[in-house]
Amino acid sequence: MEPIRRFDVGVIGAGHAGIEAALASAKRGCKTALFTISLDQIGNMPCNPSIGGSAKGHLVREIDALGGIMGTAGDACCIQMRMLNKSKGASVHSPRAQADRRLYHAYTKKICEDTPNLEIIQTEIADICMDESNRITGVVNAFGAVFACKAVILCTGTFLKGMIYIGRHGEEGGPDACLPARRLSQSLANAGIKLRRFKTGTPCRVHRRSIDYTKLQPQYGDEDPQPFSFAHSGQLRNDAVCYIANTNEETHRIIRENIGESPLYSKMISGVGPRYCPSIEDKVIRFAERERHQIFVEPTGFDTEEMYLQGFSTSLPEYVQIQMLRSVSGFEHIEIMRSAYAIEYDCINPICLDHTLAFKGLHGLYAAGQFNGTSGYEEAAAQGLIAGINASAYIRGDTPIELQRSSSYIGTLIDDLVTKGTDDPYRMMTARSEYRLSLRHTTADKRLTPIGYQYGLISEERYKNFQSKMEHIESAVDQIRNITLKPTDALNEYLQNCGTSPISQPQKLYAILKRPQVKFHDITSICGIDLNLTKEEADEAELTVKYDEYIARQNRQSEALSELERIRLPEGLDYSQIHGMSSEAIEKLTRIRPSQLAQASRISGVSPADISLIMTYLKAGGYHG
Amino acid sequence: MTTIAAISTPPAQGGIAMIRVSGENAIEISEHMFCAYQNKKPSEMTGYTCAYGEIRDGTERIDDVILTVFRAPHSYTGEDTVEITCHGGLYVSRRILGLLYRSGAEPAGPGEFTKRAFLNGKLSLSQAEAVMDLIRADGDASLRQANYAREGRLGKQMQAICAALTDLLSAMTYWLDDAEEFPPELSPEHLSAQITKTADKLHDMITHYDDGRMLREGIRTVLLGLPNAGKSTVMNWLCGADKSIVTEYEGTTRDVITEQVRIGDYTLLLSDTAGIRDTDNPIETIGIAAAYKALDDADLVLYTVDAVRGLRDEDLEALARCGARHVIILWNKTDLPHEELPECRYPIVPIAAKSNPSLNVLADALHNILGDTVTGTYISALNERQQQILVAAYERISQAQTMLIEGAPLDLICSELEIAANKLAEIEGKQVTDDVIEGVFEKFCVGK
Repeated sequence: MEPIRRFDVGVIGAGHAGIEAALASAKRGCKTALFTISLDQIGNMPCNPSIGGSAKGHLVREIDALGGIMGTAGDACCIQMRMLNKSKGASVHSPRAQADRRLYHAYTKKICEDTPNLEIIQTEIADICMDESNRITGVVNAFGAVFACKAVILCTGTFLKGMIYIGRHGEEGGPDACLPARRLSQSLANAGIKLRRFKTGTPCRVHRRSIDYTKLQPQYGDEDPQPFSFAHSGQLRNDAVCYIANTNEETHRIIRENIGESPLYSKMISGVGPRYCPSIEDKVIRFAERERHQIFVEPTGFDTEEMYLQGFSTSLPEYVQIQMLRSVSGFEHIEIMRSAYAIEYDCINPICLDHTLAFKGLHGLYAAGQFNGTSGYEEAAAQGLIAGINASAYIRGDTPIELQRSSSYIGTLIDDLVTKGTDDPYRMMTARSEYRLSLRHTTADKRLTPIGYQYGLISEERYKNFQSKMEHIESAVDQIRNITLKPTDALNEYLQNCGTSPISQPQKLYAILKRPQVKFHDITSICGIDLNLTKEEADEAELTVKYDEYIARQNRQSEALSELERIRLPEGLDYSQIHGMSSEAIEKLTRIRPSQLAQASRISGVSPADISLIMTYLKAGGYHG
Repeated sequence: MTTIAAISTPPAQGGIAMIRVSGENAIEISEHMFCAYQNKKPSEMTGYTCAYGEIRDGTERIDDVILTVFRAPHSYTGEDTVEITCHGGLYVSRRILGLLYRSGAEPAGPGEFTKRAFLNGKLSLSQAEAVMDLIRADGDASLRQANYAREGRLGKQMQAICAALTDLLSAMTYWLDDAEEFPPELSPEHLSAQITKTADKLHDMITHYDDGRMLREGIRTVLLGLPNAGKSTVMNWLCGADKSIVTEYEGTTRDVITEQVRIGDYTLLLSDTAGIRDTDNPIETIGIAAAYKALDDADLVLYTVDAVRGLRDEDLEALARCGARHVIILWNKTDLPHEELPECRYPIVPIAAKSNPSLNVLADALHNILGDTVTGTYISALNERQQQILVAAYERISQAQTMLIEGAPLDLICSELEIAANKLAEIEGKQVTDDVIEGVFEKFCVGK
């Protein structure tokens, strides 16, 4: 069939991964098509109406620092902003926004519409086409129309062969009552891609007026809300209020009595669910000793009365849903507008991808988001951005982007996915990074903006501002190193007040600021020091001083690894030819095909001796020429 | 490439031992501890030259050595290399190696010197396969050693520490990653108690770990037996000199006399004790108390029985007090008409200490019960590494302790503990990150 249109890059799915992928590709000059089953679902939030959260907030900041859209969109659609984990150490501070769900859709759709080189097309893609050398040539829709593309990015989310479950009833369907993508799975299977089933779930949406808020505990936004985007200016909308309710023994009794009605417990669903986001029945069964679980009541937007019940996802039948909700104090008269459901969908085990998110052995086929076995909008967007940059690099013949673990949570996410695979929907956590201390959300720009600039996703103006911010911080840290404080009464009084020892000899500001209790702002005002910094710059300079030493130590731990990171493994390397390798190592290396030695060393079952053997073998190969 | 060090001579007692250090900082690192008698600094020495001097740990002199410098690329590995030749003996060479580690060298991996030689083009391609065999063989040996250690007491203790750390890290991770409710595991008192407990355990292992200590210091051995079973004669036989007063009267030996003796591959720290019996003599009572005190600390009991009288009820009572310690029964005075060897759960060695027989009989018995664990022929490489890892982990945990007191934020403390846990996990070639995350999902109700 003759193509009806020709593109460089085709993106299948316009969720959070697809949007980033399409925008990155189009901004980098590739003629890009964004295919979606429904134009009205672009950038939809079928689950939680929020952006960010622990570790996810880090991802959003990193996406923004690289030139993606999620940070800007999150700021624009924010109705409440909170910095999570404020009491727990700077490296785990993480921004989280309650977002206006319909606004987020409209905002991201408009951005896509306004972007040159990007066309949005409503259609269900049924087939991907490749030539005999496994090169992508295009896609075909459900009605047989052909769209020529040289590269394709799969961002199918939970749509692929989607099945919705409520109680023991299963129905074909996509999220938020959308149509599922019924046909593409077969085409992917024909191309040799192995698919598996994952499941996830979402709680009820209820009517605002049906809750007695006097029995709930309110939760407000921060007094001093910080935006996601490093380029943000102006105010954030921050006046929405969330509430906390609690389940009780009665709720748990209802759940236990009806557990047989759950499609999961009755084994109707075989798909694996996310461990991080368990359903309420999972929580009650697995943590039977807990007397209560929290439910967060969150507005889904300003122009709607729908409230989201975070922490209460379930796939129990609707008659049980209403019973268990009404057992909660404050929910006695609750009105359900959308029922909770579980959704099961096709996805891959991401070890078949390389670090660029391309399928190994195929040319021009990329994948991002829930299709890769992750959960969460932020994880999806992060992958979408990388896949978009790399699909366009493939078209343009540029070097692809491969972020190292030490550079970012995005790099950690992708390395985990392609090296270890995942057995349940993967959620980012700060504990997944061995570089947690240096990956603070406030350093995302320092770490990634130069890369975003290099790939053409950061404007000249923004880059200039970034450089000047970096210079200010650097010079501030230098000055902090050099300034000496004399032991004055005012200073010693302050030091004692915050629980640390006074000084008797002059000391460097640097040494005093290193004390955990000492705040930069306090000490500079007491000592009359003005380094002429913005608040953001001052905060970062302070954290640099407080964290430097520990980061240096962390880095020393990983020096040996970065040596291994430089040793690339040839694509066709036949591990069975390496004399002396253990059979377990051969099997795993052959299946996962790591791209460099450091990645190989992270595979369980590959020993340091195996790594040595590969090194020696490669060197020997070098002699052959 | 990092700078690596290892003892290159076989890990056994010998006349001399050689320690090789290779890598870009090899010369600088060795300079920290080498003090030449003619003021020659390694950094000023040309390749293929050597210097005579001593190795010092701070101000303490450890040994006279010959230090040879090889300058890259003219060395076995093709890198800057220093070879330190010291007096044989595991203790000295291990101390020097420990010093090298503390100054920045790292334990050499499987076949690493040869691998580096190959990577640097010092060996021909035809040798590559031989190199791989070597790496694999070394790797297998380390694996065997690791398996062995896992089953041993050290391994069990280490696993317990790892598990405690992992639990703690899981709780921290749960809390750091957005928990709404503060886990009781992290209350300051609990956290501090847990960290202190782990630090103490590690410290204990570092200073007291049996195999390592027995290897470094010798096997703490008590000579026990009823009065006049011939313990002092046995002592003199073992020591080859008159250390104890030998008389024909019961209860002559009242002090605990300590002596170091080599038997086969083993070093014994011998305590000769007063004979054990009920007595009213106050001085003798003190001696007997001292004997039991020595027994508390002992790794090994050499229990002497008067073969003429045979095994008596008092012997069985005394043996019962030995608990789980290694015991060898010396069936003494077999030169006289004596009783038959009894059935017994302990090995019995018939001797006539008075006639000064060969020590080989005892060496064999020791080997049968202690195996290779404490001779250095088996655990050598592993233990250097383990010791190194334990020390590194301990340093991080004590750092975490200090930070906790100073009020440092939890993420920094968590990071120190993570480094410590990862260090410990290195022994089994594991990474703890996955275990920590598993622990979060298993123990805590995560997610909203």
